[in-house]
This record gives sequence, C-alpha cells and structure tokens, in this order.
Amino acid sequence: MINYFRRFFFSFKEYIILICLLIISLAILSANDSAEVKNLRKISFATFAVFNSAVDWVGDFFIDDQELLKQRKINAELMLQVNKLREYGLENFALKEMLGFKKEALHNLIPAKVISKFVSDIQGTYVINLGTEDSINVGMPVVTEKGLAGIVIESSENFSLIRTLKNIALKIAVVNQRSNVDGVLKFNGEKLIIENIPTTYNIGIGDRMMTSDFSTIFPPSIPVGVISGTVTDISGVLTTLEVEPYVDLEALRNVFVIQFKQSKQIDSLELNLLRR
Amino acid sequence: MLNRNSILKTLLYFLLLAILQLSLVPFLSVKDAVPDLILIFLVYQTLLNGQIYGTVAGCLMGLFFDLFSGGLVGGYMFSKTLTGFVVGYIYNENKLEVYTEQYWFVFIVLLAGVLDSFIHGVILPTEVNMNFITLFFNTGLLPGLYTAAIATPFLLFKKRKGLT
Repeated sequence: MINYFRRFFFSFKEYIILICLLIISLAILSANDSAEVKNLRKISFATFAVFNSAVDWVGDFFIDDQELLKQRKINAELMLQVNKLREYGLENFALKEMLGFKKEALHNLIPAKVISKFVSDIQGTYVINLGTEDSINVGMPVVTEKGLAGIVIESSENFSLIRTLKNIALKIAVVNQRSNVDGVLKFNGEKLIIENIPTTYNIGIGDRMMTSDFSTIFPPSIPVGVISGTVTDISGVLTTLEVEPYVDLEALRNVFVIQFKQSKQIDSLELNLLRR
Repeated sequence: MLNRNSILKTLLYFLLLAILQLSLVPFLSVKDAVPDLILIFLVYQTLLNGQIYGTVAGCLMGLFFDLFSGGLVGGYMFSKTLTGFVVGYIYNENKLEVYTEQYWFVFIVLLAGVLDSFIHGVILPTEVNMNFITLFFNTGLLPGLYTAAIATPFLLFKKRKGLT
C-alpha cells in the first residue's frame, strides 16, 4: 500500500505539488481580511519599505525643471485663490456665528513621500514614509494639492500603506458640488464610476464631485474628481457616471495625510441602524 | 543541482528585483501596465532548474512579492505558481542554451507574462465590469508584451556577461 502511494506520488509529483500550492494560495487569498494575514503583511511591507526608501533618491532624477516650474506656477495661482478664499472664510465665519452654527474643525496636514508603488489594473497600493510614530493611523485620508488620493489602510512604526482611488476595494460616498446629488464612487478596473444615478437627477459632464457629509471614513468637501462621461442603461432610468480623478495617481510622489479621526458617535449610530 | 549558495544567490537577486519592481519600475508604467522583473527572473530560473523548482519558486516569489507590495496576499502567489508550472513544461536539459540565451527566451517570457498577468487579473476582482477581450488585452497582453520587451536587454546583457 505504502509502495503504491509512493509510486503514485513520484509519478504525479509535479501535479500534486502544484495542486497543494494552489490550494494554499487560494486559502491565503480568502483569508486576506483575517488579523493574522493583516499583521504579516504589515510587518513585511514595513521591513521591505526600509530598502525601498534607501533607493528612493534615484526617483528624484525623474523630476525635471519643467515640473518644478509648473509647481511654482500652481503655487502662485493657489496663493491668489487662498487669499480670496480667506476673505470668503472670514465672511462665512461671521455669518455662521450670527446664525449660531457649530464650529467646523480644520484638519492638520502631514506631508509625506511615496516610496513604493504597486501599480496594478485593479489594486493601486502605495507605501509612504510615515507611520504611527508620526501620528499616522489607519483610516486617515491622503490628499495632494489637487484632491483626494486615497486612504491609509495599514500603518507600522515608520511606514504606512495607502489604498489609492484606483483600487476596487475602495468605495467613497461622494456628492455633486453643484446639485448636491449623492452617490458611491468606486473603481471598476478601468474607470472611476458612480452607478445607479436616476437620469432625472441634475448631473452633467464637468460637474465637480467631492467627499460627502455621509462618509464616515473621509471628512466632507475634499475634491475627488470631475464627471467626464455618462452611460445610461437600456431602460433609460439609471445612469452610470464616469469620473476623472483630479489627482494623477501614476505621477504621485508627494502627498499629505489628513489627521482626521472618524467619529465614533456616527459609527455607533450607523451600527445601531444596521442592527435594527 | 541546488545548494545553499545558489539558493542564497537566488534570494538576493529576488530581493534586488523586488526593490526595483516597487521603487523604479512604476515610473515606466504605460496605462497601468508595468514590466514584471520578477517574472523574467522566475522564467529564467525555471528554464535552468525545471518544473518542480519553477512551481515552488513561483509560489514563494509570488507570496513574498504580495507581502512586500502591500497588495492582496495570495494573488501573485497563485498566478506565479501556475506560471512556473507551465514554463516548466518547456524545460529541457539539452536545450538550456537555446531557451535562455537566444530569442526563444523573449518569446517564453511573453507567453509567461501574458499568462501570469491574465491569471492575476482574473483571480482577484469580484466587481470588475470588463468584457473578456478588454480584460485579456488590459490585464494580460499589455503587461506581457511590456515584460517581454524588458527581457530583451536582459538577454543581451546576459550574453555579454555570461550570467548564470
């Protein structure tokens, strides 16, 4: 009997090894959300990020003078805009005070550098050079001067893992800035889309989309992208909106992490609603 | 025959390529397609050492790359195990030089690249709304072609240096 099994194994060893390894891969793949796999991934990427950061300086060769010039121009334009917005802000503050509105918290921005990118069709994941020692925690939004780039999903002592907008696992509650129509933004492997918007809603190409007040993971009013196309389904009732992100994710190098803490009160309220 | 030295050498090459893959290669991305240096290395090692080696090495390289990149753990592990196995069929002790030092190598890398990228693209998403042809072109053919193109200079470098 043992000889039979031995002969069987040696005759088909390649296939047996292949099947065993594929089963292990699938088991690990399905256990991605478990705490053990998350911990293992956290330790691995943090250790490996040390090597990546060592060769990071090479990337600086790719930044040319034209890019710097462009950035200076953007800075100057932003400075003028900020001046104008400051005036509006003061006016808004005074008016809200008169109406007795609650104060809105301003969030602290922590500058960070992307040191490693995992470019894929479906799961954009980057590593930045800041971690829990720099007060970076899981769930904090990542932005650039143009808009939302992603969210922190893992954080070790010195490095953090960012899930970018081009990741099928990220879904964001967004709102149309002009008409206040809400929707859920997601990545379909090709484009950022918002599905199931009634065709009667007042939404058009060129409208700006930003994070919604309904989002419990992002603070409101962060620019996300602009509507670049609409596809109406066969029934003519619902539309899928295509969104072009403001942030050029492929060229992402310097980012800001928003020190934003999710509201435990909102979370618990939503959980309560779910339990009903 | 595998010994401790050759395993250490393989590990060192893998780490070096993984660093390059995650820090420099993204700068070369075209429409989210990037060349896969680790795949080139896997194909080369499989053609030198055979099918079982390719299957196990593919599994380990895929696992470590999944862990280092922060992506979904198990995705590349699955695709590279299968790719190592398939490339292992081409292994022929008597044709080592033909397959690793001539343009056959680029062709094998192309096949492996298409297979690896396509399997990886298919196995992961659950909500990707792409038809088969788009999926094959975007996630299989484009990265595969790019990887094969990058394998060409490697072949010339190897010919000149006699890298083994």
